Amino acid sequence: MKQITIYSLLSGLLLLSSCYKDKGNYDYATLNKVTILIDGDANYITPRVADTLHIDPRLIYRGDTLRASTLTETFAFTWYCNDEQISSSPVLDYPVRKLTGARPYLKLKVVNKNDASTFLDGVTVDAIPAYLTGWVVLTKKDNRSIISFIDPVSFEVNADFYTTVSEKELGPNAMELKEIWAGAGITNPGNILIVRNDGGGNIELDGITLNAISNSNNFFLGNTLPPDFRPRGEFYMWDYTLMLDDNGNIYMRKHVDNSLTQSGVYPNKPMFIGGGVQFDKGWDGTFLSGQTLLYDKTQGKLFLASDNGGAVLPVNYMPGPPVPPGTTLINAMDKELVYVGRLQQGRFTSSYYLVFFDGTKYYQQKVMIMDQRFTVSALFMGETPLGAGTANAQSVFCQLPRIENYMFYSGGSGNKTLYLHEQGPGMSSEYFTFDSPIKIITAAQNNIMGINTHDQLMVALENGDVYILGILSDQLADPSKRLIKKIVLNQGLPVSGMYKTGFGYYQM
Amino acid sequence: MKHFYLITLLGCWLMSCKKDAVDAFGETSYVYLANNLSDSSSVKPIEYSFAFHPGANKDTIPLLIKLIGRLSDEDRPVELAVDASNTTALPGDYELPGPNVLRSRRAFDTIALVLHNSDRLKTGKFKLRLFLNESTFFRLGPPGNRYIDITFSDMIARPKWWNEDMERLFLDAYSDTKYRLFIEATGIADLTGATETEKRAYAIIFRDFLARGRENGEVYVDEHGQINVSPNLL
Repeated sequence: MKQITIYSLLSGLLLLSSCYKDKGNYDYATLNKVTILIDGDANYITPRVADTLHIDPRLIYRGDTLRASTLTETFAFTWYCNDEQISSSPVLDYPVRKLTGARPYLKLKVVNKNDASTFLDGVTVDAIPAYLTGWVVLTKKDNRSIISFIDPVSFEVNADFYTTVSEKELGPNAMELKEIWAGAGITNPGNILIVRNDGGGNIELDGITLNAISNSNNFFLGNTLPPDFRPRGEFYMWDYTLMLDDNGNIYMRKHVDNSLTQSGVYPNKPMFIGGGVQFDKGWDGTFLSGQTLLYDKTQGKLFLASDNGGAVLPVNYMPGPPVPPGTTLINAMDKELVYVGRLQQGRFTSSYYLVFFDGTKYYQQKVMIMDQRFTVSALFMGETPLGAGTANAQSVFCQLPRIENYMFYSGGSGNKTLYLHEQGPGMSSEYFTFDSPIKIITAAQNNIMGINTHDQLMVALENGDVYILGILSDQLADPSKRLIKKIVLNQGLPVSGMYKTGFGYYQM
Repeated sequence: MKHFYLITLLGCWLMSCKKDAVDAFGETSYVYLANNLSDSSSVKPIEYSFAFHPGANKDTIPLLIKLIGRLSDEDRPVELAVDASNTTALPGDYELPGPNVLRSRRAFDTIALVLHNSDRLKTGKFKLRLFLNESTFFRLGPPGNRYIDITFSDMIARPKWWNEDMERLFLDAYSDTKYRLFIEATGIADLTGATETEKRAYAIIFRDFLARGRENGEVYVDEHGQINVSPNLL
């Protein structure tokens, strides 16, 4: 019994000893936390693919905000791209193109050399593809159609890229370039459509890679082309696409899936438009408008192809007070309709400047076209002479869709002068004079201080040179600031040009 | 003993059931009718309607014949005759213009059967049975491939693909007259398996055909009144 008591006491002692608190003596040093700011406090950075990253991050350390480049004695830096080490310099100089992965995660590890404390932070790199935005020019040289891309920042030229990328020739008959989007795919980049006036069909290029991705000839019913078919235009709206051919016939298809640019088949027989109507030309409305304008030159009539049900209907003036005598009537034109300047307005209702030419003088008429599903009405807003004494038979026009006040046109001696026509006061003034006839005028659309607007103009000359001119307010005010870049493209005679604006929602 | 005779007799009967084998690689040549080049099963009857060939007064149907045996360096006549007891067509409804031959160095060939259209065909279907005869050149192939039935008319009937969806979205109410016009407009009679976008494209072609015709003074009516496509066709 005594032994049991002794053992119990010993066990109790052992148990109690385990409750003894460890009052060890430790020396703690104060750890100075480091906050890393790679690009402000953004989670994303959006450089262009062609750029080289130059990041000198800021570190908040002991209450100060300092550049990493000034803290090399205190810290060691290691940069990672998707966990792969790419640099051990405090400042990252690295080409965006060399980053791996679709949306690379860039991470910086900072190690305090004194106490080995480690800090991490990173950003996702959402690179803007090289060809998302930029100038695209179609030229002809030695019976070849050539398409070139001009970087909008560096103005580097990727000449004749279609041949380089696809290892094919466009042929001699490419006649127009345009950027196209799918109606429900407006978060996708715009693709490039090349209209070819021959049996080879129109070609669509991927807006990011510039690879050829489809040929319009493959989208006819039964894979059978209409007889003697050569496209003269193709017009992409949200739900419908319209094809115009050399015989004046049109073919309208409905998109089965309007998140795709190529969806649905064109009937392989022409659409019937009563009264023997044949179309000579067409013009895209804005992508938002869901409108395409068609011109029957023989009968002098304007028609609207509608995204609002796929109908093609004549445009007539709204009932009301008669249009003033001497006005060019859109349903009985006595002059040739040579240009349509679209304005960015609403869906199914949008305004246009119609430019007419009577062989010696130009006139412009502003109309608002309202698609009322079963009829199409035009609200007449006025007609004025345009470019009197400056415009000539070779003049080309460019109305800014988002700045109604400005229309540019070519004219003057040898068609070498660019004029700015201000719609408000109805005045034209010389904007820039070149050393060769002007063939193309086209405007850029960019996001300037949060607004999608026009900031630059591309003018392509007969001698193959391309000029980029500024059209922002300070450049309008000061002629010496207008020239941004002269590019000696040297790819032949300009035929068509455009600014590739990127995502479809920029057109909203 | 009785059972022995019975078994012997049964054995003899069974022996007589031996298949009359075709000597494919021997000297004998056999000819037979076939559905197509890769299908030598019993020949299927042919149904033909002039309604699917608008404007045709006559049409030629190629009848496929195939050879079992060796190729010949000479054309060999094929005996093809009308089985009058199984034929309701009149002699004027068809012809076999010939020559009915298996041409030299060929293992298959076609014999032309010409069918003639007439008003009579609009109200009834007529049958023609053609059968092969043995000749000095050919013995006959498998029994199921020795004759062929061709039923022909100028009649039309509502096809399965012209269903409620087709009516509602594209073509509206069916009528024989409308179906004939649809075939004339599009050149196609069968939309089985067609996608929605193809159906729409055919319906648009039909819509424009009607509009174009009406502009030229044509009148398109059926038992439902004016012939039109569906108002839902957009």
